[in-house]
Amino acid sequence: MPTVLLIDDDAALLDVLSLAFEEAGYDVARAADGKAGLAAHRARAAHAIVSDVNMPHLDGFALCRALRSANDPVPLVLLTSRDGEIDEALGLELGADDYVAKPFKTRVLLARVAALLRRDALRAAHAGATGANDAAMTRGALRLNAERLEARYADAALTLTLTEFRVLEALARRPGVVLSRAQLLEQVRGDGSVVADRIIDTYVRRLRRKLEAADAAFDALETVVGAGYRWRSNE
Amino acid sequence: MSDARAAWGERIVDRIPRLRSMRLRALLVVVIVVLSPLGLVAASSWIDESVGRRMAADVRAAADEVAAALATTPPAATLDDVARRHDARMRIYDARGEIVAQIDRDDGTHPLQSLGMLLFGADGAPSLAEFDATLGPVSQREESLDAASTRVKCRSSDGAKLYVCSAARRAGDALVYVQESSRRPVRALYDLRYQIGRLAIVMLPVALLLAWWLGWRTVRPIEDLRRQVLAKAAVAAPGADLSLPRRDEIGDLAAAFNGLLRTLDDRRTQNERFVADLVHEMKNPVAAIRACAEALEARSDDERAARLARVLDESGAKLDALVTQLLDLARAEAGMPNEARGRVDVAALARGVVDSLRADSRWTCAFEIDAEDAAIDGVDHRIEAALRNLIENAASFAKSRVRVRVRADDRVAIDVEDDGPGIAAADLPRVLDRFFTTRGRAHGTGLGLALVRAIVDAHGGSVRAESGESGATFRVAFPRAR
Repeated sequence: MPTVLLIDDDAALLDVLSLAFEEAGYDVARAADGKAGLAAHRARAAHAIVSDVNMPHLDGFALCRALRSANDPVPLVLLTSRDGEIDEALGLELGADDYVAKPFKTRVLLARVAALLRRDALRAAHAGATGANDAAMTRGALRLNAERLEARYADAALTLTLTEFRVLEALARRPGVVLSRAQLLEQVRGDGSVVADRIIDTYVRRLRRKLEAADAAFDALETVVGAGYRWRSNE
Repeated sequence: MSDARAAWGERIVDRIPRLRSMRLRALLVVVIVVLSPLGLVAASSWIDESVGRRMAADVRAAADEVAAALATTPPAATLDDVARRHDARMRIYDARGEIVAQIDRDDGTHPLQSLGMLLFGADGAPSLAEFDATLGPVSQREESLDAASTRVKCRSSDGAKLYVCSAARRAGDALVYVQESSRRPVRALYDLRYQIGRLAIVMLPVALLLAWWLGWRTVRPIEDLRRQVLAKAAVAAPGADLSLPRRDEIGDLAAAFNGLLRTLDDRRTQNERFVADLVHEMKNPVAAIRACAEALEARSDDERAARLARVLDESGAKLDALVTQLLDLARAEAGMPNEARGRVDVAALARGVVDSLRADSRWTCAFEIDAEDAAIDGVDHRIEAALRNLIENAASFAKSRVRVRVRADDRVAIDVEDDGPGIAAADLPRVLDRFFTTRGRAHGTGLGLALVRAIVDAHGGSVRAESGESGATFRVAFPRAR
């Protein structure tokens, strides 16, 4: 039974989340701030952490940095409530695995955590192995493995957050079709959260940068002014 | 009283619009100042005449009094009493022409007299005694010859600097002789009138030039400042950067305006931050409410409880949308100071928005677009959001089609027209207000069109709604990119 550590200074929300995760069959540990959360995780390592960003003592960003600088790869989902927090977090390249905006649908959060745990499990099982996989999709030099949430471009592995992966997957799945920011947001987050849909711009910008790092000539992610984005169709 | 005068002044100023200009007023003042010596000449001529008349009457009265008093009182006592009242020089001669008594109170020691002399007196005028000595024996003088009743004679000294009135009167054997003098103020000025006039003519152009220069130096920066301040008023987030590099009162005024702008800017920032904080604080409870609703809905076997849970969830969702849009609105109304501005291709944006709406199955109406190439300076995604809100709003009312037109002349005009029921005339002025809606609360937050207006305002543009037989039209205009 996987353990999930929930960290939030809002007691009501922490309560509801605990119930939901317990009901979904997780072992739940709780903490009211980052410092307590870090201590709890060190005392008893969780399989995944869901943490608020804005907290006293140690905020979500600092918690993330503390974990990653200690080489702890535990899947971490940050809950953001401030417009621009995701932007900021992405810009800082904190190494969180995903960001979910408050308020969210509990089942979406559960699904995210489940996906991250599955990815971890698959990675552990296939450590070092790169063979073909049923869930793989190929678009030119891009290979996506939805099962393992793995992306490779021209054989270089891309390190993507869960949401980045979903944006890329949504666009690559339908080459030539324009997806509006709202559509992309709905597809990749599906959490009914109200986030400024400009957050998609940040995801696409980061995706482009990561893909260009793999191939300087990469230009398949097109901006369609006023409408959204599309994966350039080569057919 | 002073109110009445101020009102009168305003009436004058209103009647002659150009008088409002400080430049013209300065010129008027200079003209008056330069020409004032000529006015002084005219005024002192009048003063002089009246002084002369008064002196003549005074010496006559004094002589009469002395003559009347001599019958009963010794000459010296008489003179003492009368002279004190008239400030005159008095002498009494006997039949042989010898002085019996004399007194001189016209010696310039009287304080008022001294002051008058200091201000108006002609320089280098002889004293009364000196002048009198040049007139010959008193008994031979014109006024003394037949002085059975009082006779008065007024004379001017050479150069007319001293004016003397003498009264003579026989009283029995004695001759009473009374004199008063005045240094003639006017005489000297009057003699100078042509020089003064010439001086004024020479001075006037120089003075006018100086006044014009001074007015120009004063008025021009004020007009410059006014232009800058007016420009600030048209901008949603004016920076405190009025530039008027002057180290004088007008420079101080510009600095004061900048201080005011900074204060406004601080308030605006505080407001925006407050709304952001508020929204942030609301997100947590809303998240808890929605999570609860979801949990209740999932585990509820009771249809009624499930329905209640759905209402809870939908209300939470609406509250969420509301506070988020409120934040957007607050930012737009604050002028979006922290958002990157650049050149925005409005035609491409409009086509893109229309394309994405055509592809969206929520909308069943047809979208027509006719866009000229047009670019404005602004925040691209805000402009896009405004266009999207307008077009979606039109689509939600349209029966069969929405028409979007983009035109560029000196401004970039965007018209969004639907063929829906139109807007009641009474509602037209309010459709862009926050929380105004004719659809009821089921649709949207009531902030969509308010957001459009805030975004358009923040770009120095304008938006208005029109309604006709065939539906409603929203007309947006932006300043064209330079």
